[in-house]
Amino acid sequence: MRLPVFACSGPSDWVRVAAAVLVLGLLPVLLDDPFFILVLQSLAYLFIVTLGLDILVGWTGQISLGHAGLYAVGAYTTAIMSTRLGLPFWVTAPAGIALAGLCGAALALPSLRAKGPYLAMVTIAFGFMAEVTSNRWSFTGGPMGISSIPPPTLPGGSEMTATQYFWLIAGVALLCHLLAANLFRSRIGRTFRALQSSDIAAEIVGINVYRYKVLAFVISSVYAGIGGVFFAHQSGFINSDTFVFSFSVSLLAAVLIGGSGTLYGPLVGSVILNLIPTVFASLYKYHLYIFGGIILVTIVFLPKGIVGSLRQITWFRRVHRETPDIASDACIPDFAPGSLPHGAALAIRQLCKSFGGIRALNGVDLAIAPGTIHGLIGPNGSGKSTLVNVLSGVYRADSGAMMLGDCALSPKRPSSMARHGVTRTFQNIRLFNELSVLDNVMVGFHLQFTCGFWRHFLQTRAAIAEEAAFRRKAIALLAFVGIGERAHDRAQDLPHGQQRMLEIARALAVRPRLLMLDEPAAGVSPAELSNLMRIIRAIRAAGVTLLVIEHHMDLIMQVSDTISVLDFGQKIAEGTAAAICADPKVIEAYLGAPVAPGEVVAAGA
Amino acid sequence: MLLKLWQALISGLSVGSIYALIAQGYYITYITTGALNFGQGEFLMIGALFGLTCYVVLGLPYALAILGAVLVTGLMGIVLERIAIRPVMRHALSLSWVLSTVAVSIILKNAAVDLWGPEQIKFPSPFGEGVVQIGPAGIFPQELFIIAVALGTVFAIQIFLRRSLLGKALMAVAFNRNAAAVMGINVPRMVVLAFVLSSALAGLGGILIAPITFAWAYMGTVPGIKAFAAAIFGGLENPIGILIGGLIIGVLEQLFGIINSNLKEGITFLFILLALAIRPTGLMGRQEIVKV
Amino acid sequence: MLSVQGLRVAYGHAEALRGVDLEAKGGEITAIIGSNGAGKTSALMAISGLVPVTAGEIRLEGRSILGMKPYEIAQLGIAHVLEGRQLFADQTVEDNLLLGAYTRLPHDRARVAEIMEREMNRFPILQRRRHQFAGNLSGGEQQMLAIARGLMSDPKLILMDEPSMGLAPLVVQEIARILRGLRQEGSTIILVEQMASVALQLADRVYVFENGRIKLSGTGIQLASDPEVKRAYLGG
Repeated sequence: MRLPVFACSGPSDWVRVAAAVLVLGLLPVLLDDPFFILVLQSLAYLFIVTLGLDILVGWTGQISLGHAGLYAVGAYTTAIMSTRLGLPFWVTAPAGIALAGLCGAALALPSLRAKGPYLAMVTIAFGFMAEVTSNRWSFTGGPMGISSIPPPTLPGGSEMTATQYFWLIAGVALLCHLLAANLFRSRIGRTFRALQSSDIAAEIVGINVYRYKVLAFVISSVYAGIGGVFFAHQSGFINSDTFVFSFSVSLLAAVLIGGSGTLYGPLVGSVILNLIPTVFASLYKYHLYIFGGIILVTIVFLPKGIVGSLRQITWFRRVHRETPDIASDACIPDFAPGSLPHGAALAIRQLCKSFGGIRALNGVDLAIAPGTIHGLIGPNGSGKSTLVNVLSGVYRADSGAMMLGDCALSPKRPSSMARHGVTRTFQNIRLFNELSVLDNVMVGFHLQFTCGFWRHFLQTRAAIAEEAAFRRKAIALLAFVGIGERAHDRAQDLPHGQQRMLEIARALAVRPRLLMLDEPAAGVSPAELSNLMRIIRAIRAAGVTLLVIEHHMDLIMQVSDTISVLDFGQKIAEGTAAAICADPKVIEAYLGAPVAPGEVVAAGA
Repeated sequence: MLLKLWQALISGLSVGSIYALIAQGYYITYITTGALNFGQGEFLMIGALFGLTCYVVLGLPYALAILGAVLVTGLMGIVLERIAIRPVMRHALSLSWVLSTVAVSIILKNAAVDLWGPEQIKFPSPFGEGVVQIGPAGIFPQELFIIAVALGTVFAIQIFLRRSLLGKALMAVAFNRNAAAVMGINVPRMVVLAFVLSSALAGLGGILIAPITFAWAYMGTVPGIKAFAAAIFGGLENPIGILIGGLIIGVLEQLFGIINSNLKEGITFLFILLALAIRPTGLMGRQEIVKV
Repeated sequence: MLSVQGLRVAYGHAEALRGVDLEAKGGEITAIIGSNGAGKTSALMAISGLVPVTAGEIRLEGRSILGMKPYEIAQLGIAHVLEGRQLFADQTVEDNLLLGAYTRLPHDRARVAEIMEREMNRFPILQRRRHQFAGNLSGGEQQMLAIARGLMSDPKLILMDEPSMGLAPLVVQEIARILRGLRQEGSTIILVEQMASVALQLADRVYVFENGRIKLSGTGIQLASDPEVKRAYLGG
């Protein structure tokens, strides 16, 4: 049995929700003290804001030092609408939240390319604009502020008491938490966390990274707006003192102290930070010492935050395992012969790409027959990786044409190539390190999920059923590449060879028509090599077209149907393995000058 | 009007050269470690207040006060690197240094309130309160002094980095840590040097600017952030861009201040938002090539 | 000169070296060949202290250098010409060379000037490019500069990582000629090469790495005629 809206899958989840409701319901009744209720209210809405910031910072790995600004947008919108226009809370509150969300979307616009300190600057600038606006502009009242903001009304028309208002805030906080938990467990949360590990790997499985970063900003801003609205109606008075840079800092501190990227970290972090002024009230002269000291000590000694550090103790680690029920066999799930998708022919004409003055690709022509394995070799620096980067949309070609089947490709970003059925693995392995092995493959299914954001946000039956179905497929894929038993380990804990297999499994989840493997055998042990060859051949048998870059001559000679040789950004030879080995141009370029026995003797003497 | 514009230009250049000075500090630590001190503003504040103690309370000459401020903030840079940078750069979390340096700045602010009180304190200019007539307007000599010293220091730093062996070694560490290490360069020590330089630049900025503002515990945050905006505008890895960015922001602020004091406070941030919307790595920063 | 025993290196959970023994004799070229990911570069980086060693021993002239910082190892006289050249692209050719002699500066300026002239004679192209930025040199010139920079400290031992990478055959031959010259001068070199034929031509002793272990070792002549090496690395 489960709640209709929430992913409460077992009795323990039910118990937890019921306990939370009970505690939150009884707290203000049992301890009926106005100051205490005020503190509880503040804790509840600051928790919402912190949780929202964690979704942005802890899940997707972006940064915001301007959340006070978004909080201010919510607070001022509802305050101005209710005092100047006399509109009821139930109208002004959604307006404030929506406007905060909109601001978040605008703030996210530069977030695709602006990273690190540059993104920090965007958010700082927004925060300071809000601070200056609230302090200096007349419609906000400046330091005099806006007063007599009415508390929300009940349906009968009477104003809410402090206790009732707490119940409202706490209810919304619980709702926000449960919805965040839904997100966390669904493909949306998984996608967010994947972005944090690797933008590029997320793109090549078809995730439009930009859209998801904006989404994270919007969700985070909505949560900040909710907090701001509750704050305005709690105190009845707001002025510019609240919406300052240091408030943004303390929110970020709460996220990191609690444990970024965890579900319960924001709760712990916001409670600790917001109780400091209350608990240490008598030491008000030293508040900033305590505050700064706590931040510094936690960051240095508990970099994963309190909750994150607790989770490292296995005792607290929730084990959620299911045994792979599909036996490993040679057949790739979803790739039974005759099933979709068919491998596509690839044709490249006169592809050029330069970096600075160096021509990495200098007019490359390449034709790959559908459903074949095409080997690509050449000395280091000959342009092989650049070719794969252009084909997967990581780089844009300067000139030239690419056709996949009948479809001309002009990739704007890697995710659009994934939509065409082109994906790849990386020479330097790029997994979602923090995610489990299983989740890495689940992210690969991104384009095949049919349920959208809202169904996952609300965890409808369809979304849950879809998730379960893909889980089974993911486990089957892992079994196929031979790492089924590692499904629940973290990806970064796998040995090198298994990481390569996982990358291939993730790429297969995209259901590619063309799969590019960039040095799949690098660092793979001889024992694993035969498994790799089995996998490559089985992928071809399933009808997928493969382009394999490799230095390992044994492998490339054995599996390739055709081999092309690149040198200085140009194709210098093409043919079967035997023909390539005998080609004098290849021997000179790729293998250095032919070994003249006389020279060897001379050097060795 | 022309008079006001002229005055705004000189004031803008003097404030802007302070931004440029602090921002050079961001540049030096960013290129060597990828981190920067979000508490630069508080180092500026300490420079101003410590300088005030030397100059007013102890009655030392202004030049010695400057030296004192630079030394103290430089030493604080060593401490900062030890407690807030070195321990967190090992962490995977990419933004740890943001909060660790902010935490240090929070502690410094509290300490400054304890030591010097929360009030604004007047810092008498060593050049007196009179104005000198330059062009159409009267200008405070301190403003000209600031421009000369700050810009002179920026250039001196660049000459140090490009011409001296130590500077070249620092630039080598910035460009490629591993390659610098195998040359026999002590990389961790160079990182400390970067933070010392960065902190001392902020301290110098503080004692330079205090006579035209006031000295007090809360004076640093906003200039620190505006200098950050200047660095971002110019591109964190481009010292010339940073210099120009600082001067532009300083002048822009004073010019808009003529129209409206509300605009003066907001214009920097509006400007930087627009600049980043056009080019997300700064108007003069270089575009990053993704390496795969 | 240098002896390595039981060397293990791991990046997180991925083991790059799983117990390697090798010996570089003074005045010889010792080559390491093997495919990408076999651990060749990791071995050099472990020797110069750039990556931490999980087990094993590294001795330079009988003295353990394990656990030393990279700059201390450089001061002992080990120069490392890194893979992919890794020049200070925003500094001039002359400054790159000067930094190569960092361990001798500033107390030994006269000697450094001598060495600089010596290297300029060895690589005349660098003399002509002396005041250009290293980043503006061609690939071959950059490799020459990288080697010259490594020689500036007058090292006891030179670690050279893939000097042929991305270079035209003619330039590769030129580099091979220079390495041969260095050997004649008595330098000790550990050479990592992907182009097995080049390595086999030059080296006195060759180790073949596979998957973090040594698969084969022998003199250049022995291995050049080894059928397995021929098949896997010489394309025949």
